[in-house]
Amino acid sequence: MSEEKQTVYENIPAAVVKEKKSISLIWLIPLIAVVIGVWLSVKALNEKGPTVSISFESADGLVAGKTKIKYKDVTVGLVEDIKFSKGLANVIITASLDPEMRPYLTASTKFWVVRARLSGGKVSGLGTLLSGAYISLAPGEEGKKVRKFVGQEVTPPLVIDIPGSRYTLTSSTLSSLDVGTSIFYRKLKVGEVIDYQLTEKGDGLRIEVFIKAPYDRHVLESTRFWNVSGIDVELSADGVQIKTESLSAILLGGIAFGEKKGLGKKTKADEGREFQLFATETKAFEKSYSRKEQYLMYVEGSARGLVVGSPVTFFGIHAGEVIDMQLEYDLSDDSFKIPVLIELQPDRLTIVGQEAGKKLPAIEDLVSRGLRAQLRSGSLLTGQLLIDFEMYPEADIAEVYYEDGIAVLPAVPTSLAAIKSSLQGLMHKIEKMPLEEIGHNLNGVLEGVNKLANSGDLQDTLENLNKASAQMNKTLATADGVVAGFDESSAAYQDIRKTMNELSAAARSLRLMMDYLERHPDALIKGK
Amino acid sequence: MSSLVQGSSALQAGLVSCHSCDLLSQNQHSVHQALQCPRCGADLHSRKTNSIARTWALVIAAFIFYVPAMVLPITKVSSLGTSQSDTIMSGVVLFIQTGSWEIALVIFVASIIVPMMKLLILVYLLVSVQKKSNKGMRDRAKLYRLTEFVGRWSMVDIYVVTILVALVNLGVIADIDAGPAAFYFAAVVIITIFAARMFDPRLIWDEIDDNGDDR
Repeated sequence: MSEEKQTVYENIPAAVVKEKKSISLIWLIPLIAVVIGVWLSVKALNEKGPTVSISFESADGLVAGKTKIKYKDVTVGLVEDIKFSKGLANVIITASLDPEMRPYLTASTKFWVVRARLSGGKVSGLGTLLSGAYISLAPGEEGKKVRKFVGQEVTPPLVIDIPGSRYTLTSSTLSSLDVGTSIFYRKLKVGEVIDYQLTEKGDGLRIEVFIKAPYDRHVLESTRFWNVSGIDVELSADGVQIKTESLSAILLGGIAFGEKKGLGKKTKADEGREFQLFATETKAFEKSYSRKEQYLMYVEGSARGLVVGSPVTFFGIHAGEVIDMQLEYDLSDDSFKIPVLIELQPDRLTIVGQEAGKKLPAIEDLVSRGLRAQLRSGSLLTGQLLIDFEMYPEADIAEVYYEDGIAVLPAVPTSLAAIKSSLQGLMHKIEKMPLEEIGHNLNGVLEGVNKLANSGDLQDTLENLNKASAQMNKTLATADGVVAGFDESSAAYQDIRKTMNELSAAARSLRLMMDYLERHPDALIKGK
Repeated sequence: MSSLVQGSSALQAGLVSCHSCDLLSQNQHSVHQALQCPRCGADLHSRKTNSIARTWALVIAAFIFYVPAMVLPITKVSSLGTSQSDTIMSGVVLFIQTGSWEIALVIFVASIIVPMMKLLILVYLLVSVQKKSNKGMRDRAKLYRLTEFVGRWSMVDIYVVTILVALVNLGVIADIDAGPAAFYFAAVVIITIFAARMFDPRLIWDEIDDNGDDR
């Protein structure tokens, strides 16, 4: 067959052998692929940050692969998986974070879910309306690295890395306040509510507020905080006054503060000081105080005129009011007692002289130094009573004791009772007077007077007096005659008149001479 | 007749045709030696040069690129502030979840199955040729033709992405960007096409009746 082949292809020339290249350039392509692959994997490894697991009570709004983890609104991670914890009590979120967050994942790192909400004059987390909730992160301080966290169910207070001061406001209700509610000073937004919680007793709220740095120096000891939520409409003789802080305050509420005019300290309030939150500006600046302390006292005698709401005064200054009273019968000593519950507003007391390093003495100390309550008449017209506290250093020793946790303050007898007793003393003295004797003596005197009036001596005297006056009449008539004799036609009158004429002529010539002499003084020497 | 079908190839007949001037010349040397046309001087190839090595190189490169093409996001859809990155697989899952399983199937077949199948077919062909297998040659030839034919259609995914990027460009409301996987996916498809072209299907038949006759 090969011979045949050779004969058939005799004329076909043989191909020339060419040198063969050792390695093909095509291998560059997989090489490049390998380089790119290695680069991608190195990059992916570098970019892969720590993976953390956070447990939450609920995964409301969280989606694996979509929900982001943000710090300062910068995405720093992504939720990768959402699973239940053992027993289905919690959800555990597995999230990968950026490598740059690695040093900040410590025990104090906090995670919480941010959902859209309207508060504090701004719509926070508006983006979450569209993008769904996200998890916010507050980096922890340096410390041991942690990879398992328990998420915060409530948004934690503002992470304060901005200068400023924190204060606590106490209020009976939260009103429309919320974390993030703005705080205004002269209608300028200067801070916000960062937290609030119910007091332990449950009788009010403690609202934590944060005032930014340059403005916190306007928070003085005498500063008052009040709620500016909504519109404050006031109808008065001046017309209608509508007060509002800002549009956002109308919609979302707010807190304003300002300093109280008049007496009061003007020093900057220490950070963390507690203030009371008033319902309105007017209430904030009128003398009303809502920090109240209750005391009990027992009234002796009649409490007629004392009603719920009767004022309680300290040295005559209004300090509180009666909030309840009742009549009790004490079987132990068979007596009636009237316990009166009073409420004092300690804020009305301004404390000065703190520099001395002393503290306000406790009520026990004050009582031992003579502080006593007393029922006093508030108005003589209406018979209203009030309770007044004053120092009676000479009063009987008394001590404060507690009934159901309420201090019972000692009382001194009411001033009305005191008046009554002194009046009684007066009556006693009057009774003791020798009124009968005085009457007898007085009778004797009157008798003497009577005798004198009826005696003849008085008659004679009066007659002599009559005679004397008749004599007097005569004398006066004579005097009349003398005066009448001296009239125009009488000789004496004529004489006097003539003499007078003469005299006036003399005077005239004397004047002429004087005139001439004045003009010609030389006439004295030379003659006329 | 059977000898004709099984019959001799030009290579087995010791002949080689010039691609340039079509001169038929004798190849008295080894198959793997580089030859030159005695008339026009063009390179003579009985078989595609270095076919197996080149195909292997491209197949390996395609395999490497296949990984980032699957792992990295291929599209980045941002709509009203939210942006979402989808890999090819997560897109398929998304379509299944939203009920459009037909589209999911198309994407799954065109973007995941087909490129992988092509690569596997090429690997199979390469291995079978290298092992000088003489089984199922017709089937292997069919597989090769399928690979070559289907190659360009794998680009569907890239077309979809490019069209989407061009069409959906509404700024904040909706915006679609191509992810890095698009590049790697395109690389996989293109490299696979070249790999299929590099493979010489004649190599499949070289093992036929190779009973030691002079070559």
